[in-house]
Amino acid sequence: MSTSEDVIRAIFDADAATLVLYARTWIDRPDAEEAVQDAFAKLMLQSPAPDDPRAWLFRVVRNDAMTRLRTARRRHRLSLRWFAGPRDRRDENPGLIRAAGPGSADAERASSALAGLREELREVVVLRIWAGLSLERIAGLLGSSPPTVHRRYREALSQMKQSMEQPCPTNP
Amino acid sequence: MSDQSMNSRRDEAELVRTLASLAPGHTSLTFDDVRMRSAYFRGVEAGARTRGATPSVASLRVWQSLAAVLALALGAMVVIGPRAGTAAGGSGVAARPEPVASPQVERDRGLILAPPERANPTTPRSVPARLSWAGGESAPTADDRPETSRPQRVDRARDVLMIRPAPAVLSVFNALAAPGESR
Repeated sequence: MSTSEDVIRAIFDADAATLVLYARTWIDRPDAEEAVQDAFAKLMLQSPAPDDPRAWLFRVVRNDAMTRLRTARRRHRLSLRWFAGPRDRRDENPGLIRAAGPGSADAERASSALAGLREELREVVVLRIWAGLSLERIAGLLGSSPPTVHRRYREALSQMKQSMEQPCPTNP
Repeated sequence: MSDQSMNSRRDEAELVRTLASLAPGHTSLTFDDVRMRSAYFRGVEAGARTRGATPSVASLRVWQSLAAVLALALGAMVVIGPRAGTAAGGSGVAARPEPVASPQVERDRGLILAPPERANPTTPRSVPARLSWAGGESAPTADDRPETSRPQRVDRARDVLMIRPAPAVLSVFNALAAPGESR
Protein backbone atom coordinates (compact mmCIF):
# COMPACT_ATOMS: atom_id res chain seq x y z
CA MET A 1 0.00 0.00 0.00
CA SER A 2 1.55 3.28 -1.09
CA THR A 3 1.22 6.67 0.57
CA SER A 4 -1.96 8.47 -0.48
CA GLU A 5 -1.62 11.47 -2.74
CA ASP A 6 -3.30 13.76 -0.20
CA VAL A 7 -0.72 12.91 2.43
CA ILE A 8 2.09 13.44 -0.06
CA ARG A 9 0.61 16.75 -1.11
CA ALA A 10 0.45 17.92 2.51
CA ILE A 11 4.07 16.95 3.03
CA PHE A 12 5.01 18.69 -0.19
CA ASP A 13 3.31 21.94 0.83
CA ALA A 14 4.99 21.87 4.23
CA ASP A 15 8.46 20.59 3.40
CA ALA A 16 9.32 21.03 -0.29
CA ALA A 17 11.16 24.29 0.27
CA THR A 18 13.03 22.85 3.26
CA LEU A 19 14.00 19.80 1.24
CA VAL A 20 15.34 22.03 -1.53
CA LEU A 21 17.28 24.02 1.08
CA TYR A 22 18.63 20.74 2.46
CA ALA A 23 19.70 19.49 -1.00
CA ARG A 24 21.42 22.81 -1.65
CA THR A 25 23.92 21.79 1.02
CA TRP A 26 25.63 19.80 -1.77
CA ILE A 27 24.23 20.93 -5.12
CA ASP A 28 22.91 24.07 -6.79
CA ARG A 29 19.27 25.07 -6.88
CA PRO A 30 18.14 23.56 -10.22
CA ASP A 31 19.65 20.19 -9.34
CA ALA A 32 18.27 20.43 -5.82
CA GLU A 33 14.74 20.99 -7.13
CA GLU A 34 15.13 18.05 -9.45
CA ALA A 35 16.32 15.83 -6.61
CA VAL A 36 13.31 16.83 -4.51
CA GLN A 37 10.95 16.26 -7.41
CA ASP A 38 12.39 12.78 -7.94
CA ALA A 39 12.11 11.98 -4.25
CA PHE A 40 8.40 12.87 -4.12
CA ALA A 41 7.74 10.97 -7.33
CA LYS A 42 9.43 7.91 -5.87
CA LEU A 43 7.40 8.28 -2.70
CA MET A 44 4.23 8.11 -4.80
CA LEU A 45 5.37 4.79 -6.25
CA GLN A 46 6.85 3.43 -3.05
CA SER A 47 5.04 0.32 -1.92
CA PRO A 48 4.74 -0.45 0.92
CA ALA A 49 4.72 3.12 2.14
CA PRO A 50 7.60 4.10 4.44
CA ASP A 51 6.80 4.34 8.16
CA ASP A 52 7.99 7.92 8.37
CA PRO A 53 7.54 9.55 4.94
CA ARG A 54 9.20 12.81 6.00
CA ALA A 55 12.37 11.15 7.26
CA TRP A 56 12.32 8.89 4.20
CA LEU A 57 12.17 11.94 1.93
CA PHE A 58 15.08 13.65 3.64
CA ARG A 59 17.16 10.51 3.36
CA VAL A 60 16.34 10.01 -0.34
CA VAL A 61 17.05 13.66 -1.14
CA ARG A 62 20.36 13.46 0.71
CA ASN A 63 21.46 10.34 -1.18
CA ASP A 64 20.34 11.77 -4.50
CA ALA A 65 22.13 15.07 -3.90
CA MET A 66 25.34 13.31 -2.96
CA THR A 67 25.15 11.11 -6.04
CA ARG A 68 24.64 14.17 -8.24
CA LEU A 69 27.54 15.93 -6.52
CA ARG A 70 29.85 12.95 -7.11
CA THR A 71 28.79 12.69 -10.75
CA ALA A 72 29.31 16.40 -11.31
CA ARG A 73 32.73 16.31 -9.68
CA ARG A 74 33.77 13.31 -11.78
CA ARG A 75 32.60 14.98 -14.99
CA HIS A 76 34.32 18.17 -14.00
CA ARG A 77 37.52 16.30 -13.24
CA LEU A 78 37.42 14.49 -16.58
CA SER A 79 36.45 17.36 -18.83
CA LEU A 80 37.59 20.63 -17.32
CA ARG A 81 40.58 19.75 -15.22
CA TRP A 82 43.01 21.53 -17.52
CA PHE A 83 40.84 24.56 -18.22
CA ALA A 84 39.37 25.60 -14.89
CA GLY A 85 39.95 25.30 -11.20
CA PRO A 86 37.83 23.15 -8.88
CA ARG A 87 34.21 24.17 -8.97
CA ASP A 88 32.00 24.28 -5.93
CA ARG A 89 28.55 23.07 -6.84
CA ARG A 90 26.92 25.10 -4.09
CA ASP A 91 25.42 28.45 -4.94
CA GLU A 92 27.69 31.44 -5.15
CA ASN A 93 24.84 33.70 -4.15
CA PRO A 94 23.17 32.13 -1.13
CA GLY A 95 19.53 33.29 -1.20
CA LEU A 96 19.01 30.21 0.91
CA ILE A 97 16.75 31.80 3.46
CA ARG A 98 14.13 34.52 3.14
CA ALA A 99 12.35 36.61 5.68
CA ALA A 100 8.87 35.42 6.44
CA GLY A 101 7.78 39.01 7.15
CA PRO A 102 9.13 42.48 6.43
CA GLY A 103 12.83 43.15 6.82
CA SER A 104 15.39 41.02 5.09
CA ALA A 105 18.63 41.97 6.84
CA ASP A 106 18.55 38.97 9.14
CA ALA A 107 17.72 36.69 6.24
CA GLU A 108 20.69 37.88 4.20
CA ARG A 109 23.06 37.50 7.11
CA ALA A 110 21.68 34.11 8.00
CA SER A 111 21.98 32.98 4.38
CA SER A 112 25.59 34.03 4.22
CA ALA A 113 26.34 32.43 7.56
CA LEU A 114 24.63 29.19 6.56
CA ALA A 115 26.42 29.10 3.21
CA GLY A 116 29.75 29.49 5.00
CA LEU A 117 29.28 26.36 7.12
CA ARG A 118 30.91 23.06 6.36
CA GLU A 119 28.52 20.47 4.87
CA GLU A 120 28.27 18.28 7.96
CA LEU A 121 27.42 21.28 10.13
CA ARG A 122 25.06 22.88 7.66
CA GLU A 123 22.89 19.83 7.20
CA VAL A 124 22.40 19.45 10.94
CA VAL A 125 21.25 23.07 11.27
CA VAL A 126 18.80 22.74 8.37
CA LEU A 127 17.37 19.48 9.71
CA ARG A 128 17.07 20.82 13.27
CA ILE A 129 15.75 24.33 12.65
CA TRP A 130 13.78 24.25 9.41
CA ALA A 131 12.82 20.57 9.20
CA GLY A 132 12.14 20.47 12.96
CA LEU A 133 13.64 17.02 13.46
CA SER A 134 14.90 15.99 16.88
CA LEU A 135 18.60 15.36 17.36
CA GLU A 136 17.90 11.63 17.77
CA ARG A 137 16.05 11.46 14.46
CA ILE A 138 18.80 13.47 12.77
CA ALA A 139 21.34 11.03 14.15
CA GLY A 140 19.33 8.13 12.72
CA LEU A 141 19.06 9.88 9.38
CA LEU A 142 22.76 10.65 9.13
CA GLY A 143 23.94 7.38 10.62
CA SER A 144 25.74 9.20 13.44
CA SER A 145 25.40 9.14 17.19
CA PRO A 146 23.23 11.75 18.99
CA PRO A 147 26.25 13.23 20.85
CA THR A 148 28.03 13.76 17.54
CA VAL A 149 24.98 15.45 16.07
CA HIS A 150 24.61 17.60 19.18
CA ARG A 151 28.26 18.67 19.03
CA ARG A 152 27.91 19.57 15.35
CA TYR A 153 24.74 21.54 16.04
CA ARG A 154 26.41 23.60 18.76
CA GLU A 155 29.46 24.20 16.62
CA ALA A 156 27.30 25.28 13.68
CA LEU A 157 25.33 27.74 15.81
CA SER A 158 28.52 29.16 17.26
CA GLN A 159 30.01 29.72 13.81
CA MET A 160 26.78 31.23 12.49
CA LYS A 161 26.58 33.60 15.44
CA GLN A 162 30.12 34.81 14.86
CA SER A 163 29.44 35.23 11.19
CA MET A 164 26.20 37.14 11.72
CA GLU A 165 27.79 39.49 14.27
CA GLN A 166 30.30 40.71 11.73
CA PRO A 167 29.27 43.88 9.88
CA CYS A 168 27.60 43.15 6.60
CA PRO A 169 29.86 44.29 3.72
CA THR A 170 26.91 45.35 1.56
CA ASN A 171 25.21 47.43 4.30
CA PRO A 172 27.94 49.23 6.28
CA MET B 1 26.67 26.92 35.40
CA SER B 2 28.88 29.98 34.98
CA ASP B 3 27.65 33.35 33.74
CA GLN B 4 29.61 32.94 30.53
CA SER B 5 28.01 29.62 29.83
CA MET B 6 24.56 31.01 30.61
CA ASN B 7 25.14 33.96 28.30
CA SER B 8 26.27 31.62 25.60
CA ARG B 9 23.12 29.53 25.97
CA ARG B 10 20.97 32.64 25.88
CA ASP B 11 22.65 33.88 22.72
CA GLU B 12 22.25 30.48 21.16
CA ALA B 13 18.54 30.38 21.98
CA GLU B 14 18.12 33.85 20.53
CA LEU B 15 19.89 32.85 17.35
CA VAL B 16 17.69 29.76 17.03
CA ARG B 17 14.59 31.92 17.43
CA THR B 18 15.88 34.31 14.78
CA LEU B 19 16.66 31.51 12.36
CA ALA B 20 13.35 29.77 12.99
CA SER B 21 11.52 32.98 12.13
CA LEU B 22 13.06 32.86 8.67
CA ALA B 23 11.80 30.64 5.90
CA PRO B 24 13.68 28.56 3.35
CA GLY B 25 14.26 30.29 0.01
CA HIS B 26 11.71 30.26 -2.80
CA THR B 27 11.39 27.25 -5.02
CA SER B 28 9.74 27.03 -8.41
CA LEU B 29 8.88 23.39 -7.86
CA THR B 30 5.16 22.58 -7.86
CA PHE B 31 3.18 19.51 -6.99
CA ASP B 32 2.15 19.17 -10.65
CA ASP B 33 5.82 18.74 -11.53
CA VAL B 34 5.98 15.90 -9.02
CA ARG B 35 2.85 14.32 -10.45
CA MET B 36 4.26 14.46 -13.97
CA ARG B 37 7.54 12.94 -12.87
CA SER B 38 5.67 10.21 -11.06
CA ALA B 39 3.69 9.43 -14.21
CA TYR B 40 6.94 9.25 -16.13
CA PHE B 41 8.43 6.80 -13.61
CA ARG B 42 5.25 4.74 -13.79
CA GLY B 43 5.54 4.58 -17.57
CA VAL B 44 9.16 3.50 -17.34
CA GLU B 45 8.22 0.74 -14.92
CA ALA B 46 5.35 -0.42 -17.12
CA GLY B 47 7.66 -0.45 -20.13
CA ALA B 48 10.19 -2.56 -18.25
CA ARG B 49 7.49 -5.06 -17.29
CA THR B 50 6.31 -5.29 -20.90
CA ARG B 51 9.82 -5.78 -22.17
CA GLY B 52 10.32 -8.55 -19.64
CA ALA B 53 7.31 -10.49 -20.96
CA THR B 54 8.08 -10.44 -24.68
CA PRO B 55 11.34 -10.21 -26.55
CA SER B 56 12.10 -6.65 -27.50
CA VAL B 57 12.93 -5.43 -30.95
CA ALA B 58 16.47 -4.82 -29.80
CA SER B 59 16.99 -8.42 -28.70
CA LEU B 60 15.53 -9.66 -32.00
CA ARG B 61 18.05 -7.55 -33.86
CA VAL B 62 20.86 -9.03 -31.79
CA TRP B 63 19.76 -12.52 -32.78
CA GLN B 64 19.47 -11.48 -36.41
CA SER B 65 22.99 -10.11 -36.34
CA LEU B 66 24.33 -13.29 -34.77
CA ALA B 67 22.57 -15.40 -37.40
CA ALA B 68 24.05 -13.27 -40.18
CA VAL B 69 27.56 -13.65 -38.76
CA LEU B 70 27.12 -17.42 -38.46
CA ALA B 71 25.86 -17.64 -42.04
CA LEU B 72 28.88 -15.69 -43.27
CA ALA B 73 31.25 -17.92 -41.33
CA LEU B 74 29.63 -21.07 -42.74
CA GLY B 75 29.76 -19.65 -46.26
CA ALA B 76 33.44 -18.89 -45.88
CA MET B 77 34.07 -22.45 -44.70
CA VAL B 78 32.30 -23.86 -47.75
CA VAL B 79 34.20 -21.67 -50.22
CA ILE B 80 37.66 -21.85 -48.69
CA GLY B 81 37.52 -25.31 -47.20
CA PRO B 82 38.32 -26.62 -43.76
CA ARG B 83 41.54 -25.71 -42.07
CA ALA B 84 44.36 -28.18 -42.54
CA GLY B 85 44.37 -31.03 -40.09
CA THR B 86 41.17 -29.99 -38.39
CA ALA B 87 38.46 -31.40 -40.61
CA ALA B 88 37.62 -35.02 -40.83
CA GLY B 89 37.98 -36.49 -44.30
CA GLY B 90 39.05 -33.46 -46.18
CA SER B 91 37.42 -34.40 -49.45
CA GLY B 92 38.46 -32.26 -52.37
CA VAL B 93 41.44 -30.91 -50.53
CA ALA B 94 44.85 -31.17 -52.06
CA ALA B 95 47.18 -33.51 -50.26
CA ARG B 96 50.17 -31.97 -48.59
CA PRO B 97 53.32 -32.89 -50.50
CA GLU B 98 56.28 -34.60 -48.94
CA PRO B 99 58.96 -32.40 -47.47
CA VAL B 100 61.49 -31.26 -50.03
CA ALA B 101 64.87 -32.91 -49.99
CA SER B 102 67.81 -31.25 -48.31
CA PRO B 103 69.68 -28.73 -50.50
CA GLN B 104 72.99 -29.59 -52.02
CA VAL B 105 76.05 -27.63 -51.31
CA GLU B 106 77.51 -26.52 -54.61
CA ARG B 107 81.12 -26.11 -53.71
CA ASP B 108 82.23 -25.55 -57.32
CA ARG B 109 80.23 -22.39 -57.61
CA GLY B 110 80.80 -21.35 -54.03
CA LEU B 111 77.10 -21.41 -53.40
CA ILE B 112 75.95 -22.69 -50.06
CA LEU B 113 72.32 -23.15 -49.26
CA ALA B 114 71.85 -22.80 -45.57
CA PRO B 115 70.05 -23.71 -43.47
CA PRO B 116 68.80 -26.92 -45.01
CA GLU B 117 65.29 -26.20 -46.20
CA ARG B 118 62.55 -28.25 -44.65
CA ALA B 119 64.96 -30.43 -42.74
CA ASN B 120 62.38 -30.24 -40.04
CA PRO B 121 58.89 -30.58 -41.53
CA THR B 122 57.33 -28.62 -38.67
CA THR B 123 59.02 -25.36 -39.63
CA PRO B 124 56.83 -23.07 -41.68
CA ARG B 125 57.36 -23.38 -45.39
CA SER B 126 56.74 -19.74 -46.04
CA VAL B 127 60.26 -18.92 -44.83
CA PRO B 128 62.45 -19.02 -47.94
CA ALA B 129 65.82 -20.71 -47.90
CA ARG B 130 68.45 -18.20 -46.98
CA LEU B 131 71.21 -17.92 -49.48
CA SER B 132 74.67 -16.96 -48.46
CA TRP B 133 77.11 -16.07 -51.16
CA ALA B 134 80.74 -17.03 -50.73
CA GLY B 135 82.05 -16.52 -54.28
CA GLY B 136 82.62 -13.58 -56.57
CA GLU B 137 79.66 -14.13 -58.85
CA SER B 138 76.35 -12.40 -58.59
CA ALA B 139 73.94 -13.73 -56.03
CA PRO B 140 71.71 -16.45 -57.40
CA THR B 141 67.98 -16.05 -57.43
CA ALA B 142 65.44 -18.52 -56.16
CA ASP B 143 65.14 -19.91 -59.72
CA ASP B 144 68.78 -20.98 -59.61
CA ARG B 145 68.02 -23.48 -56.92
CA PRO B 146 67.53 -27.10 -57.88
CA GLU B 147 64.06 -28.03 -59.06
CA THR B 148 63.53 -30.29 -56.06
CA SER B 149 64.03 -27.47 -53.57
CA ARG B 150 61.56 -25.07 -55.24
CA PRO B 151 58.33 -24.92 -53.23
CA GLN B 152 55.28 -26.08 -55.08
CA ARG B 153 52.46 -23.69 -55.86
CA VAL B 154 50.02 -25.63 -53.73
CA ASP B 155 52.30 -25.12 -50.80
CA ARG B 156 52.59 -21.42 -51.53
CA ALA B 157 48.85 -21.04 -51.48
CA ARG B 158 48.62 -22.92 -48.22
CA ASP B 159 51.42 -20.94 -46.66
CA VAL B 160 49.95 -17.59 -47.60
CA LEU B 161 46.44 -18.43 -46.53
CA MET B 162 47.54 -20.58 -43.57
CA ILE B 163 44.69 -22.91 -44.42
CA ARG B 164 44.08 -25.80 -46.71
CA PRO B 165 42.12 -24.18 -49.50
CA ALA B 166 39.47 -25.76 -51.64
CA PRO B 167 40.54 -26.69 -55.20
CA ALA B 168 38.60 -23.83 -56.77
CA VAL B 169 40.39 -21.30 -54.62
CA LEU B 170 43.71 -22.99 -55.33
CA SER B 171 43.33 -22.72 -59.08
CA VAL B 172 42.45 -19.05 -58.84
CA PHE B 173 45.37 -18.37 -56.56
CA ASN B 174 47.80 -20.23 -58.81
CA ALA B 175 46.53 -18.43 -61.89
CA LEU B 176 47.17 -15.13 -60.19
CA ALA B 177 50.56 -16.15 -58.85
CA ALA B 178 51.95 -17.54 -62.13
CA PRO B 179 49.68 -16.77 -65.08
CA GLY B 180 52.14 -18.19 -67.64
CA GLU B 181 52.47 -21.54 -65.94
CA SER B 182 48.80 -22.18 -65.27
CA ARG B 183 48.04 -22.82 -68.89
